[in-house]
Amino acid sequence: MRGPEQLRRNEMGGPDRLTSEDPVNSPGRGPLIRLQGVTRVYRTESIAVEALRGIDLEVLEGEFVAIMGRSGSGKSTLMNILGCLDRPTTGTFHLKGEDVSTLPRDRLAGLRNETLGFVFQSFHLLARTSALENVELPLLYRAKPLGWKEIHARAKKALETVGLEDRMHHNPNELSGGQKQRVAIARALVTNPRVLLADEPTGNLDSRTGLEILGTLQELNQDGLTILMVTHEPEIARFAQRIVTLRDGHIISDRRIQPNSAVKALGEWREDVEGEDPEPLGGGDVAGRGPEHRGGAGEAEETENGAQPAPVSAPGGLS
Amino acid sequence: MKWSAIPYIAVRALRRNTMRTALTTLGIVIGVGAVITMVGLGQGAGAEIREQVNRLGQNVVLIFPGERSLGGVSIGGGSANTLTVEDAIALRDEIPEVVAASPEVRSQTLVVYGNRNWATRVYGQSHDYLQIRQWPMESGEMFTEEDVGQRALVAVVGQTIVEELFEGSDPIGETVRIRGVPLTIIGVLERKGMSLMGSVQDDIVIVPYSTAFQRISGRSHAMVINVQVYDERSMDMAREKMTDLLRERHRLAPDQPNDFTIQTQEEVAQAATETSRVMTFLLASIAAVSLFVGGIGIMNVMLVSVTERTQEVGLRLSVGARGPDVLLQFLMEAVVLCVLGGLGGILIGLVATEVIATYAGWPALFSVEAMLVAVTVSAAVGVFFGFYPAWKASRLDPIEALRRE
Repeated sequence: MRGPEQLRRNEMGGPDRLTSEDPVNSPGRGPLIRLQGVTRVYRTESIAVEALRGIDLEVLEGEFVAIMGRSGSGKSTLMNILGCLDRPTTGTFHLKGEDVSTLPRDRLAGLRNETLGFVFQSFHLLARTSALENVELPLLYRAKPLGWKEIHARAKKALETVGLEDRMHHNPNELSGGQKQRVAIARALVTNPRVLLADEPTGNLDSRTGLEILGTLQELNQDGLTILMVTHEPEIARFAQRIVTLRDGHIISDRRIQPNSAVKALGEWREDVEGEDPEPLGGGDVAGRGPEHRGGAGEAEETENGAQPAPVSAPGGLS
Repeated sequence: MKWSAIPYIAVRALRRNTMRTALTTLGIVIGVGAVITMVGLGQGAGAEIREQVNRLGQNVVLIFPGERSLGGVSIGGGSANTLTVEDAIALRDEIPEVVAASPEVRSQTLVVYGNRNWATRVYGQSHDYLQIRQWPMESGEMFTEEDVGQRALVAVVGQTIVEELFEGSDPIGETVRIRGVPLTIIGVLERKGMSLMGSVQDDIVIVPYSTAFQRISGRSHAMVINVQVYDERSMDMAREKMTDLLRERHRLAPDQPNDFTIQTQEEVAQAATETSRVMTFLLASIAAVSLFVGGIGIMNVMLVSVTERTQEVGLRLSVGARGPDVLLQFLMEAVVLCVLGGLGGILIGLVATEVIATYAGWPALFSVEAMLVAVTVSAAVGVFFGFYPAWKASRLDPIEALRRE
């Protein structure tokens, strides 16, 4: 597997993205995403659960925002609304300057296809389907269909962007967890989206692979792609430029930080392993989260990841 | 959405579970196969009947003694003694539309030649019977009007007699005995094949009706009068005139019913084909039921498939598939299943028809229309039974669907 430092530049989301013809979306001209007084209430027969209680949030083009919070804080609900998978109960959501909070289902599907890209914790790749075909999937649902040649070419390019051009014809069960997530990222990038939404993208990965994925995201962000990442781990959030923290449906903090560099962290992690340090990630970023403690929710998934880039087998790792 | 991707996605999905696909398709294969077989055999039987009716002769009218309804049609003779030789002669001589009329009398008896004998049907007919039946001679000659007048001891025989009594050698000039009466064979008929009732028409000896009445059957009345009418257009007119003539000759009062029944070739054909049509319809209905059951199987499997692939649907929705796209995808899967089944069914049906036709000795007819109908119907079954599962899939909420295990 390629390390993030070997990643190619994102040819698709390059700076030309910023010279968009739509003036509203250019940086400095207005936020790409603007939520105003967004609430989301889930009603069952007897009770109403308020998952979001008035969210105001603006995200500019080119930002890398981490959305943090414990389970039940409303971060998943917020992510669903930002991803146009759900609509706010009250309040407005402007995407690219357009109010999308009341659009019908099919228009939202169009937005998900053209403007947004999703990366999930559990990858959600189609089984027994090659990496290339998985990446082609969003292009099949374009409102203006492309020719097959163009579809193949774009999917191939997206896979090259994440460094998986040599795994194009492999099925997901022949890929490691990190490779699967890269395929998922390529799938999110293939439509040339404005926003990448990543829901716990490292949640099912060991820490080293997680760092590599974060490195990929940072690279994409440096090339101008707006990224929103949901995580419950503070040490993961620290790789973003801005951390929005939710609790009980409210934003309790919204701060900009100097992000950690995933490339650097990966380098330090390597040194630590080679220096027989039982805490593989220096700098306290992922302290106490050595590879052997990983797993949890991701354990079931990882059983099929035949090719774990195993820090456990690194010299001294288990000694 | 990219339309050409829909069948591709459907085939991919079906190939992922080959065994299930094969078993699901089997229901449709059997259903379509049964329909094709039943329709094929039924049509074959119908065609055979039409063929046999044509073999009956051209513009032929049969007059039976006694009142008989169309439903109880039988080509065999009735028991009433109302038709006479004189009736037949009067029909021929007094009605211009009637070209020929032959009073018929049959007996089932033994034919003896040397030390061989053979049970056959002996027909008494007039000299123009072969013209009525459009039955050519293979060799020799038919007896003449004079032979009939003189009650000549002559006979014309069918191919079965030649084979059974003469072992294929030329029988002309030989003498056979029927009920002790020596008859000289003067002609051999061409092969005619099976009759409407399934009997071998070539198993026949034809003698002048005068000879048959006096020397062989011992009867005095005709069992049937075979009549040939000039052409098809004169049929109704001839029928009317024949009815009037026979009523007059039989001295029936206006309030008395006919003591004879006139049946045209067309009516005989209708009665015969009606039976085969009813049978075909019944068999095809049973086959259609099995196709329906196959369709329910498709629906069942599609429902399971949608449940299993909820996550996949969620993912497709989240990358931009619309409800109709998902609906089409699952609908296409059901249709592909059914069309595959339809094609398999046609194959099985053709083989089954051929096998049954060969072993049972029935004719089989393969119609391209039946196959087209089968494929169309199976595709329609796919749409009909695939719609509900596909609609269910298209209504899924992407968030819920992604979360479902």
